[in-house]
This record gives sequence, structure tokens and C-alpha cells, in this order.
Amino acid sequence: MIEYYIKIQESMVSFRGVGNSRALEYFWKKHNNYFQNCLTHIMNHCQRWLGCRIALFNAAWLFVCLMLPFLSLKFFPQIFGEDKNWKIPLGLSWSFRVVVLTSNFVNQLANITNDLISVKRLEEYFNLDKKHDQGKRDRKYQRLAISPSSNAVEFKEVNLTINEIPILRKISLFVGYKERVAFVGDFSSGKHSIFKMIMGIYKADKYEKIEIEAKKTKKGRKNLKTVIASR
Amino acid sequence: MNFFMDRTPARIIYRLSADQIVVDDKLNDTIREGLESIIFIIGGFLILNYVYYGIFVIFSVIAIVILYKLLNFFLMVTVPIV
Repeated sequence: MIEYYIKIQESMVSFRGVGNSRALEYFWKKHNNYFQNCLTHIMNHCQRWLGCRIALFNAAWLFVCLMLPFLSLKFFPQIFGEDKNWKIPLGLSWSFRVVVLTSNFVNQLANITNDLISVKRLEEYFNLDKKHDQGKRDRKYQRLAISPSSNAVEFKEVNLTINEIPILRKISLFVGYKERVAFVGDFSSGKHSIFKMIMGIYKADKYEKIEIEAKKTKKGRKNLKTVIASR
Repeated sequence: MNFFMDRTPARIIYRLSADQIVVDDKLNDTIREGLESIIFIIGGFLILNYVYYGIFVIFSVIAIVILYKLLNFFLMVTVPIV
């Protein structure tokens, strides 16, 4: 701040003799940053004041609402003084205040519900099931006549050959319901071919048992198709 | 097109980070503001009960129930992560 002030003073001294619009233009161009900084400084102060303003206004209103009956008794004794009925101004002022506050509260509730949408989305993404959802899931299994402990995908001693080249030999795999399985292995070790076999793109040559529960229902087949589409 | 809107995984991550910011920073303040205003409303209802011979008891009870629920939610949100 002090540096800027000195610079401006110097420039004013240097252009004192000229006294035309060009000098002013040059001055503005040279110290544009300083003015911008000043403006931001003032704006910051204003913003802080505006932040305080709501709280100050609320406090002032509360004070007025509390003092209104006493003030009305003092300044309008002809109206309120005879019966000492100070409840009328108090009731009126507070009813108005409560109406405004409730409208404010409704706006705030809308904000909260807006934020809760993101909470729900996060819950869905991370599979954060609540306790009461457990019963719901059990009922779903009962409806499908499947126990949650049984396997969704079951391979037993499966062999796969493509174009007379042996790719998989005696593979057995068990995947339960709602279970997440990662296929980890070297390059061209047969991860993707197992995946395609579950889809039904490749068909096994020799096998003891292949059971895929998802293929039994229409919804499951549709889900498998979407998995292929997302690949 | 923007990278964050072009590809599906990028879009998911973009949306997820925005949601996480809301839960971490914004939600706390919004609930606090709501609590402040409802406390003022309950105070107003108490005074109105005194003035209008307890007509506003029902509203005040409803407001207290809302306050209780919001307070629980506020405590749930502001619990430190262990």
C-alpha cells in the first residue's frame, strides 16, 4: 500500500507540468492495478458488512418486538393505556415475526433437501445399505425363491478351446450373490475369455457343471447385456 | 467437449467429487441455519401461546418435533470420522 502511494505521488509530480488528458490516461494505465486492489479491498469490506447485516437486523427486530408493548404504552397511552392491554401489540408483532421466520425456514428446508440428494447418490454409489434394508433384500430373495448363500455363477471343471487352440483347462469358479470378484492375472491368461463365457459369447467344450442364475430370469439377461455394452 | 462430461467414468468421478464437497462443507451450514431459524420460531410460538391463551400449542409441538429431528441429523453429520 505504501509503495503504491509513493509511486502515485512521483507520477503526479512528473506530470504536473503537462496537464492534459494524455497524462491522466498514462497515469491510469500505469496504476490500474492499484485502483483494482482498492476496489477489491472495499468490496471485501462491503461483503463482510453484508454478512453481519442479517444478524444485526435479526437482533434489532427482536429488540423492537420485545420493547413494542412498553413503547406503545409510553407513546400511545390513549389507545393502550386505559385498559393496560399491552398484549395486542406484542401478539401482532410476534405473529408477523413468526410468519417471516417460517417462510425463511421453508427456504432453508429446501436447501437441506437439495443437499440430501447428493447424500443419497453417495449412498447408492458406495452401497451403504442401512439396517432396515436387510429385510427388504431378504424379501426380494424369497420372491425369487433363491437363498442368498447360493452361488450366482458356478463353473466346475470347464474346458475351452477356440480354433483348436486350448485356452482354459479344468477351471472351477464360484461367485455368490452381491459378491464382488476381481479377475487378476497376466496378459492373455484367460481373464476375458472367462468373462465372455459367463456372457455366453464363448461356449465350453467339456464341463461337469455350468450354472448362471442371471440367465434364468429376463431381467438378469438384460443386465448381462448392459455389462457387455459398457465394456 | 469437456473431458469431465465426455467419458462415463470421468463423469461419475466429477459428480462424485461434487457430492462429496456438498456433504463435507455445505450440508453442515445449511442444517445449522435451519436449526437457528426454528429455535427463533419456537420462541415466537411460546410468546404467542402466552398472548393468545395457548392456541399455538399444536404448532409449537410440531416445531419442537422438527427441531428434535434436525438436531439428531446435525449430530449425525458432524460426528468426527474415526
